[in-house]
Amino acid sequence: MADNFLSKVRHELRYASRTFLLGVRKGVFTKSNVDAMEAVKQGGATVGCKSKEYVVLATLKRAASELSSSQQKIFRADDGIGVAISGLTADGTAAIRALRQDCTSHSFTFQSQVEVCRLAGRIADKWQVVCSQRSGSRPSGVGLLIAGRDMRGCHLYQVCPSGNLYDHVAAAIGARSQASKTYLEKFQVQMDNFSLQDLILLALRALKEATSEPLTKETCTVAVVGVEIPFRVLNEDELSSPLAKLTTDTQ
Amino acid sequence: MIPTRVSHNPIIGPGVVPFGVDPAYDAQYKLNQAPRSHVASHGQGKPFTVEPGPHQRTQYPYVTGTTVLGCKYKDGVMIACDTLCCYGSTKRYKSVERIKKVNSSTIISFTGELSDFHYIVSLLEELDTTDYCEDDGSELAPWEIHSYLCRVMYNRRNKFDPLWNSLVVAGVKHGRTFLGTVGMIGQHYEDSHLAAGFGNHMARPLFREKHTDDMSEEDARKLMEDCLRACLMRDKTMMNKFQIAKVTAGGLEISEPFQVPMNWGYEKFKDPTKHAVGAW
Amino acid sequence: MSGIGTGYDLSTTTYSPDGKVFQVDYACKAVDNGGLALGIKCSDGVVLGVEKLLPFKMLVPGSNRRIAPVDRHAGMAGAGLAPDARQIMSRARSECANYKSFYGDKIPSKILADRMANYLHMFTLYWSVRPFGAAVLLAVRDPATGKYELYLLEPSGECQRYHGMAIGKGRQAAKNEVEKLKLGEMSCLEAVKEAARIIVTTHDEKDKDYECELAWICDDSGGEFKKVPKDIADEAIAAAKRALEDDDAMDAD
Repeated sequence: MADNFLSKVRHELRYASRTFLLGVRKGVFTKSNVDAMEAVKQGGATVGCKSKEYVVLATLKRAASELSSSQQKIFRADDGIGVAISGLTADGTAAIRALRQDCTSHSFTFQSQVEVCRLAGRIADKWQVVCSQRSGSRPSGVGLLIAGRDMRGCHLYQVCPSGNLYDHVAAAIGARSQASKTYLEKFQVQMDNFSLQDLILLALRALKEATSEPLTKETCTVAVVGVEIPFRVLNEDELSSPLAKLTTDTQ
Repeated sequence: MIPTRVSHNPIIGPGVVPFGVDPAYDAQYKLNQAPRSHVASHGQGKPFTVEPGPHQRTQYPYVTGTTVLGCKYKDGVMIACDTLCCYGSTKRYKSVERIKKVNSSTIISFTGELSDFHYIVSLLEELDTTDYCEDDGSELAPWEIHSYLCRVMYNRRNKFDPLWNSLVVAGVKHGRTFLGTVGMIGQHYEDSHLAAGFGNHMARPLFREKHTDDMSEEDARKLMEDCLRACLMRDKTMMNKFQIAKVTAGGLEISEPFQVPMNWGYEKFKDPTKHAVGAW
Repeated sequence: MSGIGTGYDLSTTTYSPDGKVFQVDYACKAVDNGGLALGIKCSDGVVLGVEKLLPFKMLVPGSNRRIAPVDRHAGMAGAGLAPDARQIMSRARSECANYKSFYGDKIPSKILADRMANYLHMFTLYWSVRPFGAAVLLAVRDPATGKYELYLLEPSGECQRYHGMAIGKGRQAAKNEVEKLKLGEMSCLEAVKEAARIIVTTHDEKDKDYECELAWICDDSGGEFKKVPKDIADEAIAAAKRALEDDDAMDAD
C-alpha cells in the first residue's frame, strides 16, 4: 500500500520537476504547470469588476509582521492601465516591469496608450513560451488582473501562469476567490450600469467574501480607472466611506 | 582602421592630427586611403575595387517627387500632389500615385526619393496587417502613424542613413482631424495647412492668406487648385497631372488624376528679357 | 494509456518500446479534449467554425477568440490549449510578414502550411521543449492561383490538405456530418449554416457554456479572412439551435 502511494508521489514529482511537459492528472490531460496555478491560489484574494465606464480592482493586503509595511499588490502600468497581482509577489513585480516596458515603448513610438487587449495578449504569449513550453525556467507563479481603459472602453483581463488569457466582466483570483466569484456572478447583468461608488462597494463586498477578517484601511487596497479618470489607487480618506457602508451591511 | 589619435592642440582641437606632425600616422593614413582590391572569400568571381575614403551612405536622392500640399477644411482634411517622379531633372515617371492609403482613416504622401517612400509604405503595410490580424476593431490613428514615422525618420538620420523624404500624413479619427509632416532628419510639426518640398515656398503664403479651418470642401478644393497652379508654374519638376485625396469621418477618397487650367500666354511672358534688362 | 508511469513519456526524445513518442500522443489528447474546430472547403471559399467552451461565467461575450487571421489572405482556427494555439498563430503571422518583406508578395498557401508544419515539428524533436497542445486548421487563399485551400496542422508536425475536417471534442460525429455534405457544390453562405448546425448538434450538453465562432475566407469577404458578418452568423446559429430544439421535441414525443 505504502509502496503504491510512494510510486504515485514519485510519478507526480517527475512531472512536477519538469513544468513544461504535458502530463496526466486525475485522468485529465493538462499542462503540469498546475503547480504554478496553485501558487496563484496561495496569494490573498484579488477582485476586479467593471461597468461601462469604470474598472475597479480590490485586493487584500497583509503585513508580514507588525513591524513591516504590507506588500504592494496593485501597480500602475500606465496612465490608463493598472495591474493587481496574486501569488508570488516577486514574480508579480517582474511581470509589472515587463508590462511597464511594453507601455513605455508603445507610447514612445506612437505617443498613445497601448491597447489593453494587446498588452495583455503579449504578456500571455510570453508566459506561454518562456514559462510553460520550454525547460530551463519555471512558470511565473503569479496571476494578473489587468484593468485598463482605451479608445474602445474599459477592460478587465486575467492572465494565468499557463498563458491563458480571459476577458472578464468581473473576476477574482487568489485564495478563497471562489466565494468572491459566486458573489459577483449575481451582479453580472446590473454591473454594466453601476456608478463608480457602487462598483467600489461591489468590489469590496466581493472581497469580503474571501476573508474572515474585517476589511479595514489596513487590510485592503482599492484602485480605479475609467474612461474619464486615469488609473489611481484610492487613498485612505476615499476608502473610509465605502468601508463604512460595508460595516453597516454586516450589522 | 585609422588609429585614433589624441592631440590637444588648442587650435585644432582634440583628436585631430594635421599632416606632418606624425610621419608614422601619415603613412598609415595614406595606406588606408589607397584603393584596395577585394576578392570574394570563396575565391571565385571577379575581384573588385573599393574607392578610397570613408564609408558613405545615401548622399543624394535619385528619383524624386516634388511638392505635396495639405490643408484641413470643415469636414476633414485633403492633400494634393502631382503624379510625377523625376530622375534628376528628367520627367521620367509620369503616372506615379504619390498618395497612398495607409488604413481606413489615414493617407500619406511624400516628396523626395521614391524608393525610400516605397520602403516606408511597406513598413506601414506591415503595421496595418498587424492591426488586421488582431481583428479587435482598432486601427492606428493618423497621429499615431505620424508619431511612428517621426521615430523612423529620426532613427535613420541618427544612423547617418536618412530616408530621403518629407512625408505628409493626413487623417480623421475619433472626431479629430490630423495633418502633420515629418522631414528626412526627423523634424516634424502639425498645422492646419502645410506643404512639403518646393511648395513650402510657393504655396504656404497663399494658404496663409486664404485658408481657414472651417472653409467648405469646394472652397478648400479651389484654394488647393490655385496653390497647385502657383507651384506648377514655378517648379520645373512638376507637371499638370494632379491627384487630390480627402479624408473625412465617412472615409477616404483618392481622386482620379486631373488637370488645372493654365495660361502661359501672358503678355509679359512673351518677351521675358524686355522687362528684365540685363537678366539674360 | 500505457505510457503513464513507465518513464517513456517524460521527453519527446525517448521512444517507447512500441515506437511511440508519448509526449506527442498526449499533445493530441489535449487537442481531442478541447472544443470542436471544423473547416469546410466549398466551391467559393473556406469556412472555419469553433465551439468555444467557456470556462468562466463572467467572460465578456465574443472575447478570447479561437479563430484569427494571420494575414489578409490566411486565417487559423485552433483546437486544444488556447495559449498554445495563440502561439502557433503568432508564429504564422511572423512567417507571413517575413515572407512579405523578403519577397514582396503574399505567402503562398503551400509554403505557409509547410513552414508552420516545420515549426510544430521542431517542438517534437528536442528534450528542452514540449510539443504544442494544440492543432490548427488553416484556411488560405493562394495568392497566385486565387484558389481556396484548407490545411490541418497537428502537434506532431503533420500537415495535410483537406476538403473538410473536424478536430477536438466530438470530432468523429462532426467529421461524419461534414462527409455527408456536397462540398463541391456548396457555397460558403450555405456552409456557414452547416458549420453552425454541426457545432450546435455535436455540442456535449454535459459541457459548460459555449460560444459558436465562425469565420470565412471567400469571394463574399473579398478574398480576405474575416469573421462571418454578425447578422449572418447569428442567424445561422439561431437556426441551428431552433432545429436542435425541434429535434429534441420530436424525440420526446
